[in-house]
Order: sequence, then structure tokens, then C-alpha cells
Amino acid sequence: MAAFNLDGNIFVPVPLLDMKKSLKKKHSRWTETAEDLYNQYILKSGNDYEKMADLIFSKIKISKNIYDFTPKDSRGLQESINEMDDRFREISEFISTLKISEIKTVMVACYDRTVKTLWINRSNVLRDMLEKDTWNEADALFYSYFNMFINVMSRMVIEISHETAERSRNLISMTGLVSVVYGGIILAYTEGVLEYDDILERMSDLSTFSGTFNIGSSRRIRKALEATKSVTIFSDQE
Amino acid sequence: MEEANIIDAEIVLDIVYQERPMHLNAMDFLNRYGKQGLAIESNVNRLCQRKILKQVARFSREFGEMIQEKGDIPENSSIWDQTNTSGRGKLLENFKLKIEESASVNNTLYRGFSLSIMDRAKPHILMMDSTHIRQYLQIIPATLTDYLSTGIKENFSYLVPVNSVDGKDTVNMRRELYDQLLNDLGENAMTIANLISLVLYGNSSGKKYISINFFTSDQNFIENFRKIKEDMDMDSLNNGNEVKAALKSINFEKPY
Repeated sequence: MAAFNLDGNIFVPVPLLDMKKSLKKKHSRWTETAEDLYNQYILKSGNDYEKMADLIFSKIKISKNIYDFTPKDSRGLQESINEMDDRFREISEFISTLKISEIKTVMVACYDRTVKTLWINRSNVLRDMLEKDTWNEADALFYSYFNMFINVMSRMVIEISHETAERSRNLISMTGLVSVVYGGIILAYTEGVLEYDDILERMSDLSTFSGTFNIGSSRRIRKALEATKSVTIFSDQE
Repeated sequence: MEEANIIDAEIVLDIVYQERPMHLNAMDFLNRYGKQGLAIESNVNRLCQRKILKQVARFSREFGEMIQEKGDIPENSSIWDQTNTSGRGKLLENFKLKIEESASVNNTLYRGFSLSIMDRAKPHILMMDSTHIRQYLQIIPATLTDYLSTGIKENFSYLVPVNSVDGKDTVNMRRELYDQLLNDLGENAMTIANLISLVLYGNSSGKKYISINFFTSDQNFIENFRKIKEDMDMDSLNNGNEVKAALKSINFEKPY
């Protein structure tokens, strides 16, 4: 079981916690509902945390990849969440009445928090991996995956911030979907239910999308990485 | 409307990795088209990344296990940490022998990969304690996929089929095709579904293609595709006639 605790903070189908911080005071009626839902469904100590976790686990197994996501998939995810509790529906209906600039403010705050939460937990994840006596194949990939996911989410937050409010609409829903489908792998790991095939498939997608990045390490490790980065992948018949 | 020259995963790997036996032939082939003159589609990229990840996951697990092995007194630190540099060299040689001799390792893909990574890492690894080696093993998957991604970006243009045309969802069409092709084409089914989609609807940047030359040396793939072109019943598909027409615009060629 993972030592680090993300406590649902990285899964952002609905920007529950951030509504309170980012919305104007006139919306306070909704922010209270959002806080209740956050406590009930997103926090691990909440009564219905398992329901949300199960929904996320079902999404990491979808056969679509990051290039196949459409706004329809985002709506499908939102609908699945709405079906869990009518208050989710009320919240998403309320959000749809906001100006796009307001939605953008809330969502950027939300995704930004996700990235920060992940970033803060990086060293804990590494420590967790190093403390394990033995690894299975999923363990062997996990820390790289974790960093790759941070990189993808960071890039998406930057892209949303730079887009005009109107054009950011699709990107916002796409990022929500990415946070659930690809972030779900991290939840599955923390819950001890991660399967090798799931991380392998999701990481193969994500690495086509993540862009160049470095994972911080000591000089000696960097030298070893540099020496081995171009190691050859042979073919079965060779 | 233009013609697209798209390559399969093996050609991508031949071009990006200098140690592959066909690297020079692949570079001659690349030079005929110039950088960015050849394209890859998203599934080929995914297949390449997957090949690397499968190998490196297994290597990290097995090598990480060896590094952690304890001696006779379990509460002591690992044998690796108790051993000097020349002793560590012997431990590495023993591990290599184990890989070479292991009955379970019946594919050269993994053997070649793991021996290659150990030869390159050896001078650095000998100087590291087990904690640092395990850190290295945790970061190497991202480093390898990053190297491949960079090689792909430098050499090829990248084609992603468009997801929506005039508000019409083309992803479903691709999924439907994929399901139809999966039995005959296995992991290449998504590639063919994507190629058909590129001919029918173009790519995500709005480019349309009059035909596609798909380069591959995989004779099984070519043979299976020929059967699909001739025999497969497309009537069950929503847009079977369009798919049939698109199939005629996809040609297979041997690259080198």
C-alpha cells in the first residue's frame, strides 16, 4: 500500500474544492454543496469514496486512447458522475450557467492544484518505491508514469491559461477526462489494485503525448541515464 | 489532397536506433524522403512505446531484485552494498549469464535489450549503491520513451486522425472498424483503422489524403490486409461502401 496520500486531490471531473476559492461570493450557495460532495465522495475518509474510486477504475480500462477522446466522452464521464448523486448534476448545471471566463478561472485553479499536489508528492512516491523490497512490473514503471502524468497535466494547464476563454472550453473538458483516465492509474496504485496491463497501456499512450522532460536525480544517476537512453529495442526475429 | 507515406513500427525503430541491424538501410530509405517526409500515425507511435516499456519493466523488476538480494543474514544490507567494485562486476556477469541461460527467456528481444542496457550502464552502476541503482531503474522507463519520442519528432511528421467532421463523430467509425479487424490483424488493427480514417476524413490539422503508401516488411500483415481487401464483409459497417473505397487507396510497399 502506498505511503503517500493524494486523498482524491488529483481527480477533477468536477472542480469541487476550488469552487469555494475561485468563485465570487454570490455563488456561495453552490460552494457549500460542492464542499459537502468533496468531503463525501473525493476524500478517502468520506462515506462514498469507494463509489467515486470504482467509477475512476472503470475509466482507466476504457479502450480509447488520448487521441480518441471527444467532448462526448467528457459528457459521458460527467453523466456517470451525475448519476451517483443529484447534487453533482445540480453543480454541473450551475457551472454551465457561468461565463466561460469564470469557468476557466475555476478550472485553472483546480488543475493547478492537481499539478501542485502531484509535484509535492513526487519524493514520497519515490521513497515509497525504494522502500519496497521487491517490485512487480507495474512498480517498475510507476515512478516514471507519475512524473509523465505531472508533465502532461502541467502542459495542459499552461495551454488552458494561454488560450482565449472561448477556445479553452474543449481543452478544459479534455483535461478533466485525462485527469480521471490517466490519473486513475495513480489512484489504483495507492489502493493496491493497479494491474500491469493497465499501466502499460496508459503509459504507452501517455508517452506519445507527454513531450520532453527531465526527472530530477543526482549527477551520477543522470550520467547512467545518459549512457543508456538510446539502448536498442531489437525485434523478435533478430 | 496529397499522398501520405506512412511507416510501421519496425521502420521507426530501425531509423531511431543506430544499433539495429537494418539502421543503415533505414537511413537510406529516410533520406529518399527527407526528414518529415515520412509520417507515422498515432497507433504506430503507441506500439513503439509499448515495446520499450514492456522490456524495461521486466528488466527493472529483475535487475532491481538482484540488487536487493540479501546474504545469509537477512537483516544486513544487500550483497551488492557489501561488495567491492570487482565483486560487483562479478555479480553483473552472473546476472548476464542468468539472462542468457534462463529457460524462460525464449525471446531475443528481451535478451538483447537487457544485455545492451547493462553493458552501457556498467561503468556507472558499479560505483552506485543499491538505493541509487533503484532510483536509476525507476527513471529509466521515462528516459527511454523520451528518447524515442524525440527521435520520432525529429524525423517524422505525425498524423492523428480527425475526431470530428462537421460535428460527426469519426472515432466511433474507427472503433467499429477496429473491432472488425482485430481478429485478423491483432495489434495492427488500430493502425489500419486509422489509415482508413485518414483517407476518409483527413487528419486533425485538416489535411486530406488522396492515397496512402504504407511501408512495412511484415509479410503476414500484408497478406492479411490483402485478404481483408478482397474478402471482408463490410456491409455490417455503417459506412461499408466508403470503407471499401478507402481500402483501395491504401497501398503496401516494402521499404528496404
